[in-house]
Amino acid sequence: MVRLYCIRRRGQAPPPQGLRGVAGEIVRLLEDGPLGAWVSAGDDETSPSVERLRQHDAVVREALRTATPLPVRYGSSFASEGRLLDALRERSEQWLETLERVGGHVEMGMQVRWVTEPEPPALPENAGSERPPRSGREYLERRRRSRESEDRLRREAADALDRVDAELARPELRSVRTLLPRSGVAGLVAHLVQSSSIQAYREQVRRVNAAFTDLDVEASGPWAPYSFV
Amino acid sequence: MDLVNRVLDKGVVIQGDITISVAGVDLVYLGLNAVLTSVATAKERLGRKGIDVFGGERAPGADRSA
Repeated sequence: MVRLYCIRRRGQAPPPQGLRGVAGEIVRLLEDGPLGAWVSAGDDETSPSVERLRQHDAVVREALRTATPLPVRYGSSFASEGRLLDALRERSEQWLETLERVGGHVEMGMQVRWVTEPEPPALPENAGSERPPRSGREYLERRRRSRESEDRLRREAADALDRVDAELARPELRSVRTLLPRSGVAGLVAHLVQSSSIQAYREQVRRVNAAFTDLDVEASGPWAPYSFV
Repeated sequence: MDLVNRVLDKGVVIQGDITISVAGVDLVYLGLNAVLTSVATAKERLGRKGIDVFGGERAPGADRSA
């Protein structure tokens, strides 16, 4: 079995000698046509432990040091090198176009947290200390209240991200939003940033953070462009 | 959490070999966000039902998965 980490252009720097990926397997280069792939031997264990995810991302990060790769989602394994190369060939034009689009860029992230978390959505029916509804009407009214409070929270999260975006004032940056990824976090924003502008981005996010008293805004990255492939 | 969000949920998706053919319909068995068992266990369990699990391991009459 062969595990795939990322896709690059043929001729770009190969994995450093001795680089190890998931489960300690040596990472090597496969090349076919205009593309190269960083791969290692796969194993039968597919559970995505945090350690294995870190190992996968560490290989992708190593590739990012020399040229922007297309990071592959964890878990892409093939029975043989031949089958992996067949899969790459099927969409090689698409991969080349994507490499062209993200080349010279990295993904930077912003995490936007509320300083004081808004009231959580109303509990759904039959949860916790609530007695079961006594009628169908009461059941539906509870469902409506629960949905309304979820919608309110989403609107507050979207408003928080809109305010942060306005303060950042970089409308030209490609971005991807994730609302309410976990408790206390209004949202995550991924930006595609030129590799030469990482420090400037971090400084801009620090400035944005200072502009708000009700939000904490923190930068992360650089990452390979997971959100933009 | 940033790491998990990216590496598990984003990135290029290329259909690999972890698929099952059931009545000629390819299904992605191992959802990357909800892996329930190891490949070995999956092969053991599903092979007994005569389902084509991996390329090269065909149940009689089953179509080869893509």
